[in-house]
Amino acid sequence: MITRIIMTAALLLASLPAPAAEGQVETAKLSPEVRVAIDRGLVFLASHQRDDGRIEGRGTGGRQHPVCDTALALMAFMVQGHVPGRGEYGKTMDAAIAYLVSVAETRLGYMGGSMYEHGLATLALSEAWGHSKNTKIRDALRAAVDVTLRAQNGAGGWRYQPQPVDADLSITVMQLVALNSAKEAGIAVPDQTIRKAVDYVLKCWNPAGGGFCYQPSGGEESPRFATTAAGVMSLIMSGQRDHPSTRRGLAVLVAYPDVKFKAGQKYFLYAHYYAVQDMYQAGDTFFQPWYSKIAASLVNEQWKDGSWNIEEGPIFSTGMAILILGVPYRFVPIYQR
Amino acid sequence: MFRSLTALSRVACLLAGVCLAIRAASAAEAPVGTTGTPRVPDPVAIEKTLAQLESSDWMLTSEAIALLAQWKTPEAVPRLTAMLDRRQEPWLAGAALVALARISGSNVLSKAAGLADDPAPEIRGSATEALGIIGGAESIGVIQRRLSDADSRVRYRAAAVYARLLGKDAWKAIAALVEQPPAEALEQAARALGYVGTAESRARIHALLVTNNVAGSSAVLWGLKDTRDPDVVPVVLGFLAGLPATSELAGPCMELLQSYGDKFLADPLVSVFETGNANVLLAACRLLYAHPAEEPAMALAAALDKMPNPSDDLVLAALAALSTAQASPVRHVDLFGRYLAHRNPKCRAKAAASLGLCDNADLYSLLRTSLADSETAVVRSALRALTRIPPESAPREGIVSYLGKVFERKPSDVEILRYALNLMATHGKPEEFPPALAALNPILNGKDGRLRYQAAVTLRQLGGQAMARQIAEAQGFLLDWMLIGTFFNDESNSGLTNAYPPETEINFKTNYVAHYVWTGLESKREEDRRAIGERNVEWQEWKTDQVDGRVLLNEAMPPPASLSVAYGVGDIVAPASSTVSVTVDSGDPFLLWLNGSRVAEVTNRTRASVQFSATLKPGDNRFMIKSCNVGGEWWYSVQLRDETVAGGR
Repeated sequence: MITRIIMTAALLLASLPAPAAEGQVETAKLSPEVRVAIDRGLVFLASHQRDDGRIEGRGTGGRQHPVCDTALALMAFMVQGHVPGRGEYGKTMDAAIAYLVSVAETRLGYMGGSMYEHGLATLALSEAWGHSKNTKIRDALRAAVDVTLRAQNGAGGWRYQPQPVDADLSITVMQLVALNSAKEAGIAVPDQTIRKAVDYVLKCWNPAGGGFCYQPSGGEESPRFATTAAGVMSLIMSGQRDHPSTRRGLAVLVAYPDVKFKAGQKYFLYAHYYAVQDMYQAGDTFFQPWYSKIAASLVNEQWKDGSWNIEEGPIFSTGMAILILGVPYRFVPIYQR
Repeated sequence: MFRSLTALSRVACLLAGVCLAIRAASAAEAPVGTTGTPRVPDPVAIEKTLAQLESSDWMLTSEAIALLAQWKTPEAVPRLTAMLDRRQEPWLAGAALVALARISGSNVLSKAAGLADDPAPEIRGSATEALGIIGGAESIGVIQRRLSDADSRVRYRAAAVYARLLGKDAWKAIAALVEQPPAEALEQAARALGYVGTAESRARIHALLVTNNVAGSSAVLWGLKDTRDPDVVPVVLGFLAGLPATSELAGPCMELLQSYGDKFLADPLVSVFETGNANVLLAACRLLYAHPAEEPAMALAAALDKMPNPSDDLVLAALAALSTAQASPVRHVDLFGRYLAHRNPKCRAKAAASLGLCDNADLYSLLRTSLADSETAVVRSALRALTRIPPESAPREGIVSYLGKVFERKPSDVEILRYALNLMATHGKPEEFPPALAALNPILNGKDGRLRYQAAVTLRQLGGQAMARQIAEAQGFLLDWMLIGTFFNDESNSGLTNAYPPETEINFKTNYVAHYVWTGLESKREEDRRAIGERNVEWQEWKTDQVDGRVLLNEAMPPPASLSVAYGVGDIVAPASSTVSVTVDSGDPFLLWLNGSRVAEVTNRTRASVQFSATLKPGDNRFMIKSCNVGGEWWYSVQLRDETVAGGR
């Protein structure tokens, strides 16, 4: 389960609306060290592409998650402004897209071994759709979104399998992000689905601790960093920026001890994918000190071959690290809204 | 134990088998159209049932006979004939004969006619039944002879069959028989009378009902079940009306009447109501309640209108019968309205409740007087009725003005007040907030905390969240605070005894370095899952906007709110020296100071409410509270009431 929770986070930051005017980040500053780190990371990702387009490595315990890895890598390229079909990584991205589309075509729209992977792949294809002339992306997206819509349970959430049975915050946030992105890409998503999902996320908020729990009535007395980061993120992107739960959750993230910036914490990359975008949305005074700390921590963790290997294998870790470091680029289409 | 259980189950099976046989016989003679088409069995079921005929267990055998008769299975004829010829058990043989008549009809006429003279009374009785199924002149002739059978059970069985075949034409032949039937023949005698269906026979039924004991009357009622003569309904209702309230026969009477079904009851009920017989009306009302229909309901309403002074029981039963959906209560608004002024409060309450079912009624006008009723039940019914109508139809004067009298009731009428608050919340309009606040002032300053909270929530619903502080202020809560925190606490609440700087000086411009603790950090290393940090804390203004005056420290304090201590300072100005009642409510342990002196404390972990009297000095007075949280919700409220002032404030 932990493995899958960590995998979820990727690309979340790619789908946030622009920051509020009063809290806007004025300047995107990437240090030379960060630019180089991202460049080296992208080279590493591209070097792990297979003939069928998948970008894949070995995760924890040798497990492989080709859909997750490919979707993350695809988003990582987009973060730096690369587009399918053109430039240095154009062919790499085309092939990665073709792989994800082929998975959707052969599995009736369901991509991956869990709804985590499915959500990530849906998000990646949604973001790629605006830059590609490949009409198969649209058809694959429609089928993928249909699977997601049908898997929403009565409480408004989602769980590991594409069945409307159970739910948890982590997978629900992943689907919420994917659906918002798909909706922006022009795929029909009922407003009611989004509303119900937001209701579910709000049920996971614990007013006593101020953070978000893994499931409603989770009884987690101390606020959890990772789930709080995810909960805040999903509420912001669903138009609940000023909701008391959002504001209190943001305060929890800031007040959380600085051990949060040390690689080796549970769900480190997962949490920071959400958290960095939370801070970006909260404004410069939140984002700048936060970004400098997480960037320093990540640059320090990069291996000589350009990869990161913090959790869930080098492809997953590298994709996630680039997505965190690349927030100031704002090249991913959904950032520009 | 096992043995006795087995014996019991055998008795149960025996009864079941006999009932099956009776049911099969009844189905055979039931009037056309009163039973459904028998279910067509599958071949496997037929095969199994045929085999069951040969069972050594007579209960299984009798069950098989009944089923095969019901299904009219031709394949059963040879086996049933053999069984009849074997005569091992006379009553089983008789059952086989009845089944053969059901399956083969006139093909067994001669056999049945011959067996009508059999030495065994069980066979003679069954032959009579069989002939009744076959019918025809020859059968009737044989049955008629059995009317003078030496055995009373055969005689009366023949009478019942004969009456079913000939109806009123059978009367002359059976009249003497049913004059004074023996106890064991009462059921069959009643069947015979039911099938005759004349005024004379019904008079005899009534006589049998009233002259016999409970067992005998029960047998009569049982015998009438299959006859379904609609004109018997008034007879039974009349008998029921004359019974004591606790009579054992009331149940069988209602069971019989209800077995007739709506189709057979509507017309007789109309007739009963049209007679206006007060004695019968009560039972008829109860029957109408169980089998509601519009036409009898109209007849009942007309009957009630004509009665100068119906009994209270009758009024209650009638109102209930007229309030079912099928009785169309909207057609009885005037009647319900009249009973709002009945002498009995139960009737007034029921009338008000009935009006609540009438969408077409001007309930606000009709129920205005009921709201001032001295009886709680009447007011409650009226309020509930009003709650059912849509908010759009609230009176022009506004719901607050309309309910004015209700809120003048004594505080002990909590239930009434709750209903009224509910009505105000759902039917009130925002512009009614000021008069509502005034009307609810006694509740807002009352001692019932739950009622006070409902009133506060109602007012918020009317006026919106913008009015929350005004609502809280009306209850005497201290709303404006200076807060500081968090200071260190631990799982044993040691923070309660640690004196932090605010306990020695209160300077709102000063800040302090304070420690806080995070637990449950998501670190892979055990030692990294708890961290103690330090930060500057300073005083902040906090204006609570909760209608119950709660200061939500979970929101006000920086995270984490667990394992924390916070201080709150609230100032008030007293125009003169006065004694006030102070209520402190909190979800956590606390200490409270007034003008620098400790005046209250709760040191255990559970939620606590303390109330005490305190003297305020003229001019500025300062409350300071120290609240210690381990985990969960974190809040407190402080309420002041001047007990020397009317209304509590």
